[in-house]
Amino acid sequence: MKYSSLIFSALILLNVVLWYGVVFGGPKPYLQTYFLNIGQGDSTLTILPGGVKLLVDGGPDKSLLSELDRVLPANDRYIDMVLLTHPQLDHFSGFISLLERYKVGIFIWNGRPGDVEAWQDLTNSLSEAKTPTIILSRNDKINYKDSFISILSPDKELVKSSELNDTGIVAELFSSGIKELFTADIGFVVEDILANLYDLNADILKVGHHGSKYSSGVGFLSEASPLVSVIQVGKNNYGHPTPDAINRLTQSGSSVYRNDRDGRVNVVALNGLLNVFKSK
Amino acid sequence: MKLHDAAFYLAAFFIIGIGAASLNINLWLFLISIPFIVWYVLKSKYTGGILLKWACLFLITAFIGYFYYNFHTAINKEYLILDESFTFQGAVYKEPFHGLDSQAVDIRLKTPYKGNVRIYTSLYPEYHYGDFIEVNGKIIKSDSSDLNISLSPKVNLVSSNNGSSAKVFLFSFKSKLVGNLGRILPGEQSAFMVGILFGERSGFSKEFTEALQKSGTTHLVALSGYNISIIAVALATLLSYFFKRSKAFWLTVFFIITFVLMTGGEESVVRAAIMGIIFLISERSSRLYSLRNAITLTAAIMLLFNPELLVFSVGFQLSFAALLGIIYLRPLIEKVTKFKGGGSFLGWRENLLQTTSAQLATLPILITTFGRFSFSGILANVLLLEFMPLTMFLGFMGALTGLFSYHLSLIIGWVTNILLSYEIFIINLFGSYLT
Repeated sequence: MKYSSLIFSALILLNVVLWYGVVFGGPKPYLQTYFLNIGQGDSTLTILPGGVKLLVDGGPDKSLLSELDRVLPANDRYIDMVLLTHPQLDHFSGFISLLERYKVGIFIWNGRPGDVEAWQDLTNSLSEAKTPTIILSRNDKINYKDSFISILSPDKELVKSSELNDTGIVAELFSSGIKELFTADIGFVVEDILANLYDLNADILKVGHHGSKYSSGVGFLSEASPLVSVIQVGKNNYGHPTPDAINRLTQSGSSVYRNDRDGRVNVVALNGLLNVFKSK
Repeated sequence: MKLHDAAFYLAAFFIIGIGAASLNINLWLFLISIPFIVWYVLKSKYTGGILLKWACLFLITAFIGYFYYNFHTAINKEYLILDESFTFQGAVYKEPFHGLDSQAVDIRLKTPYKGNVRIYTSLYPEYHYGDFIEVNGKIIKSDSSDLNISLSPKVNLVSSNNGSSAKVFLFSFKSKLVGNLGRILPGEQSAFMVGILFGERSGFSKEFTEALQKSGTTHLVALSGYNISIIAVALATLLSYFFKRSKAFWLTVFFIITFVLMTGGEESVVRAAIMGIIFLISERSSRLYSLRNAITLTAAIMLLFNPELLVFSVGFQLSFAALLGIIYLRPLIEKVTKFKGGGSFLGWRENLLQTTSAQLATLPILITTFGRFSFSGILANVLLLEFMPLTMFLGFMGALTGLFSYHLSLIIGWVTNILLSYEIFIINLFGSYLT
């Protein structure tokens, strides 16, 4: 038996790994948000206290998978909730490869089908993986233990908008005394609607539309007044993020992080304090 | 002359003919040898030697090789427009490579154009073998190979499911296995495993590809003949428990061919498979397995399919150089240095000899074409080679088990992961830090 000692040591190692997982691998009691570094596109993984995972958008390609590999333990292949804000390639492409590798508890979307060819690939993958799907819109809510997610937009009218960016799901998350705002690719129009309807005051903001000139308006930002804002942006030809948006964000008193410079940004809410970790 | 010698010389002269044709050596130079033949003929009246007939036959074989090359290039001459935007249609003739942020789709052009083009397009929608597509864009020559490529043109699907159903089945079976590996291994590890098993490198990051090159370990993901002969022997032994000898043989051959088709018929896989089959045949007919014959015949058969490989494919040259190195340089090195292979811790002596001789033999080609050579690669290979068969075995079992039970395959995946992580660590160590 040439390999017997090798197999024996492999088994011992496997035991150590397993028991380590059993003893230390339990869910963390605090809120973590990873703004994944997936290039030009959006993808945010939030792990609620108690371990439930919410993945908002999937980025433009398979870099989502390598980012998840770095963030999640190797044997964790389950994501409880996947939320697609709106059917654009830089938001949903990554989900297609995600569904091949991960089991997804539920797929949440706005009900507006995409008009690009790749949309068919996504719907095929969803039905192949037998993933349950649900359409959510304004005033729908998700509860888990002491965490709440409420959907602020779109309503029945907005979701039909000819401007696809206005149909994006805007979600608000309360957890561990922290409020987070996910603003998809919305522009001034939707921002103003929301500023009129809700108390937007937030601690963490996923900046709208990769720091576009036509998002993150002054009125909206003074309502939201985030402590930490993260711009999800990579190499692109649109000029994202624009100096205009960045200036407005800094003037609102927020610290601004961006994936293209800071890499993956991890915001941990511990005992009412926000800790920001950057991978670069 | 014995039959196996005759086969060797016939194949060798055929290869010489092809080589002459691809290097544009004039046909008439061959005719210089005619006086010698005539002389031989005259002489034969006295000796009646059979050798003479063979000599004529060999010369004719060289001519056949020469003509075959020209004939092959003439009928396969491509016809397409370079460096200009136009619309063309073509059939996807093998399963595209789905990379990290783009896919590479190989198509065979439809008339009025002729030739093959590799199209780089966005990751989605995914195209598959058997699709027929319309493309609008520019075709250019690739910098790094002799491929025609087209970078992010406009692509429209015209129709799908035009391919052979056997191939469709094999490709979907393979992608199922690949998918299973993805579910039980972390991303980097599963990409490497897919590389080792199927020779597919599309899942590799740029850094990892570079690390493989710099550490001299790219051959691990190129399905070497070594890998396939392991599979062939294991299969044949396994099948011989269940079937009669001849049936087991044919089944093994069948599975090897299936495997080659599954991997899309990459050159290195074909070479390895032919070697494996010849190995099995010689074992079956209880004749001594002559490596010299096996190599020349393999080369001749491969050149029959594509005579341009000999001079224009670095991959072809590298793999044969490595093989020749292991067979002919190794005994020489053993003799000169008095360094013997055989039993040692993790077989390091055996692996050191193997690697050194292969690296030495490929050295001239590597330096002239890539301008670099890695000496630390010898050490990297010694540290890796012993683990490859076990890794292959476990990975394959993991992928297969995944078809029946996810949880069982997950356990196999954990064990495989340990080996793979070690291998990736060594490759990165020698590829990025120690060069």
